[in-house]
Amino acid sequence: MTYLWRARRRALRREPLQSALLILSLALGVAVVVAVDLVNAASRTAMASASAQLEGFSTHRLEGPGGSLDLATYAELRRAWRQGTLLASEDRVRGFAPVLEGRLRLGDGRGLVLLGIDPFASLQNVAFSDAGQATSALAWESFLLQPGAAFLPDGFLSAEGLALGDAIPVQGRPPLTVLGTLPGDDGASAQPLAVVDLATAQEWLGVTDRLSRIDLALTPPATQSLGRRALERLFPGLLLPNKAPPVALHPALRARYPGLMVRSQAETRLALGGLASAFQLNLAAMGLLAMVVGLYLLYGALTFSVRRRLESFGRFRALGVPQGQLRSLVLREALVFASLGALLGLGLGRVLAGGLLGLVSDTLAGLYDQVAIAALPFDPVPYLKGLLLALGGAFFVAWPLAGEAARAPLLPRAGRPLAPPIRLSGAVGLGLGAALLLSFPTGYLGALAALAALLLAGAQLVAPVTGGLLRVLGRLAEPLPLGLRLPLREASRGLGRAQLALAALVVALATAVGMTIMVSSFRLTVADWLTERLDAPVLVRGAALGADRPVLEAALHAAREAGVVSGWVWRQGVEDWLEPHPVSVVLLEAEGRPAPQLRLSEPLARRLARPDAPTLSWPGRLDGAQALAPFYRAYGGGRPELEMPRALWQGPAPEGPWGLAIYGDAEVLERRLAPILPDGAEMLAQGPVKARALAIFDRTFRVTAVLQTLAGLVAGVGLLSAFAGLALDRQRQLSALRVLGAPRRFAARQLLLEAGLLASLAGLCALPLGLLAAWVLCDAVNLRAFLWTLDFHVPAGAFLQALALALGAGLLAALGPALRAALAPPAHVLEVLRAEG
Amino acid sequence: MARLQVDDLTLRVGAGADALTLFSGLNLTLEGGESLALTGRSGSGKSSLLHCLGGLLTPQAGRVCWTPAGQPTVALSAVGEGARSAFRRRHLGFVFQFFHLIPTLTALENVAFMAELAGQDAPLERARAMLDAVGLGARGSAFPETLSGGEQQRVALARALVHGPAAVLADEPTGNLDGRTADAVAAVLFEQVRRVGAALILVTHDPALAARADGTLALGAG
Repeated sequence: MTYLWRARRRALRREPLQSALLILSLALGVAVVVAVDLVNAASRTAMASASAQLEGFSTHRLEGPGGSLDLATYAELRRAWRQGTLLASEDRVRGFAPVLEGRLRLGDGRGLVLLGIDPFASLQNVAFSDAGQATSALAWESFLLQPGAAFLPDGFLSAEGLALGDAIPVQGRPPLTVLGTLPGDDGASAQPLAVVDLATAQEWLGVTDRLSRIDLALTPPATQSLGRRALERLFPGLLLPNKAPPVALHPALRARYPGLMVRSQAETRLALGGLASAFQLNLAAMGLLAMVVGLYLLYGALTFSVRRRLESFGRFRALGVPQGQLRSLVLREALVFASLGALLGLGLGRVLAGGLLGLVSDTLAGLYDQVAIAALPFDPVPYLKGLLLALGGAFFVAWPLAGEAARAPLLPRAGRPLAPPIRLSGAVGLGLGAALLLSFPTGYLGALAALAALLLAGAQLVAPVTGGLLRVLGRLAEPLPLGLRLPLREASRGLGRAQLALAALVVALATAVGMTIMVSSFRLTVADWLTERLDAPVLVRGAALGADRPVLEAALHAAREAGVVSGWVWRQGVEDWLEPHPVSVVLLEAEGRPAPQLRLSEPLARRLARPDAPTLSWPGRLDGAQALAPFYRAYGGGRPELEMPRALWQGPAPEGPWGLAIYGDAEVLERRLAPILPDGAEMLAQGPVKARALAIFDRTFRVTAVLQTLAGLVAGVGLLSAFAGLALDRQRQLSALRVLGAPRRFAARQLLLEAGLLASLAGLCALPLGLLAAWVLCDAVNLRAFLWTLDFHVPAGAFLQALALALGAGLLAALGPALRAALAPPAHVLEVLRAEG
Repeated sequence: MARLQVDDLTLRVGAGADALTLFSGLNLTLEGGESLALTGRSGSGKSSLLHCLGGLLTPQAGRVCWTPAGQPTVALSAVGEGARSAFRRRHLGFVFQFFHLIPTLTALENVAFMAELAGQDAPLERARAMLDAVGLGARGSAFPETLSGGEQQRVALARALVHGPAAVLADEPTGNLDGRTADAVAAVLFEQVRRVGAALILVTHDPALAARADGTLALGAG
């Protein structure tokens, strides 16, 4: 065994480039997995930390219409809580804490979230420390009695160089005083949080008669199964957050306060939660893809390595070497490669994660103001996972090859293929599996599995399809000179050797095409949705807008006569239940605009399992069955909604917040309406809102593009290895041609043409597969995961980009071997020819 | 008639203490239609001399001058790599011990490819005629892997002659063939080279093959 292994080590040292490329492709695969996991874990930690700051131990929140509660309602709700009649369900309410939340501006203009709490009831995770001492009576006393005393995040204080007792200037208000620290937050949040006593919040925010909400702590909190927790730990981001069952107020309270709603904290975090989940899901999926591509390449390289040596294995067997030793030799080689690749990949992954951190942090800051990641926390799981994936994967792919080596024929057999066999039955089986997963309600994980099966089925077909295309091209090229036809023939011959690398390239390109189409479709649909939802140039909103409606209406009519306004739509939100779902109802009244219709949002329509229902019956809210217009798209996440003409509403008098969408020239409107707006109302130009939403969207998917590139890079390294191997195989032929008088450039041109041809054809194969992947992503994964559909949109450049990438990768991979062939001195050419003897 | 003139040729291989002079002050003249066998022990420098004559190795001293029929003289040892390549593809033909046919081209295409490389018109017609001449007219559509060793070497021979070279340089042309096949190939080689009026320089260990040549140059004595 020692001698066999020694001989093998020497042989490997003679092919350093091949060995190095194999290790590199595996290392890149591991690196992407590790980096994605590290970044995903870091972003989840950051989000959890931000949630802990904002929500503390609360699990739900009780909100009034318009996002506020008057103090009388608060008192009654508190009484109901004491009597155990707050909720309709059996859930026990452990904690009940009033909160007043608002925003202030720091002296330098940055935002600050002010959270006013009742320290005796608070569910906030506040560490009452005083100058480093744990909970002290002095701190409690100061918090209650000293106006402006605030607790701020540790990280923020360190970043600002602030100490306990320091004053923090606030625009238009007296400064806040640092009384203590809050756990979490690394100082990188866009808007830091200051926790103050309720009285301070009322004074600093100028709100004395209302609360923002009541935080509730319900027991028992939903626990996750061990399996789910393990899966989340191993594949962060792949599992979407569990939807907590909706919690309803006691029927008596619901009847009395129809606008009051209980929301889970997770639900409130979902303002853009759909996008955030889509983002994490993408990250996790891309990370796994890169690893699969890396293992695919390892499989290809090991297969060649073993099959090329079958004759020697046979000779060893003939000499009496036991089969077990040969098996062990192959396994050992695979594990050595995998270990080296994994070790390199772990280091690269850490570096890559550092690079991705900025992009991910930007995305989270766009999605959630409070979340930012400044550094990667130490987490051994992604490293262990990368190591195990590499070693386990290597063992998995090497085991059958080790068996092949152990059973190598004692006498050499001619014509044994070097490439792993293409099993059309495998491709058909995978395709059927994908069809089954897509036909049955297997959830989004089933759809993702179907996507993986389709990609693998496509990968199996790359070699036969490329071979067929080469044959067709060969026939078409008959009239061309032999010098131009030769690359076609050689490409056909080299297909066996390059097929796995090409398949890996096809998988990477198809994924890139699929993701590009999906993201483009998503963007276009979201843009359409935003255009529809924000079609009015100006939106006026405010809780008390309804009271000033007559004044505003008069002004609007006057403006309409003056030609400044073409129409307007009044909107009022109502939180309600369309059993068994909590819903947000939007009541609409239009003037000078098309009449509103009764419509469900797509997620609600799908949740009710009747996306095409012609009518809706809603006892107590609608008079009989009312005709439904087709559903409208909604991508915001959070509570499902429906909209209807106000005249149709039969429920209790709505108390929700008002909005007024006004159509006309935005600039003129802002100028003319601003003076007559009631107090507390704000006017928003919708254009910038839409632009910001799209900017967040673009930022969200920028990371995906980076990871696509990395997966492509893994495939590119595989290609480099395959083409270097092809060039090695052709060395003698090209050397002979040099002797016959072929110019130096001839060899280079041949290798580049072959590589370009193979890679371009692989690129062609990737196009239909990418289209199929896009379809699964748009119509199955998104629909099942987020209950929304996307308009299928194929951007003009997607296919051209994939083809250019394939050609570029092929030419780049072949450039080194081509240059080596062209620059080889005649003495080397003769050496190669002599080596045959 | 083509002519080869070699003057005072010296070739050393290796460097420093390992340097070895394979031959020194070698002079040689060969006319079109003549044949010369280079013989000697392994490592005596016969293949290296052949490569010097073909412009594949550059001697440390001396000149290798070729004068193809109706063409100016080219000092192959004094021109650049590009010019030597061009000279080889237009005026020389090579036959290797291991044939080195292109496996993805048929026998006919392998021969035609050389004619195309040499810039000749109607390469397929020339190749067909040449294959007929070496007795393989019926095997033109066969790929090398389906041909026997002797057939492959005859295709290689047709390839070496298809463009009407001034000389054919053959390195152990029968070294990989059994005795009977070797005899047959040697017969075709000499016959066809004479037919096209080219010079023939061959490296061989086989005394019988060497005896077929007009002259023999034994190397190995330094």
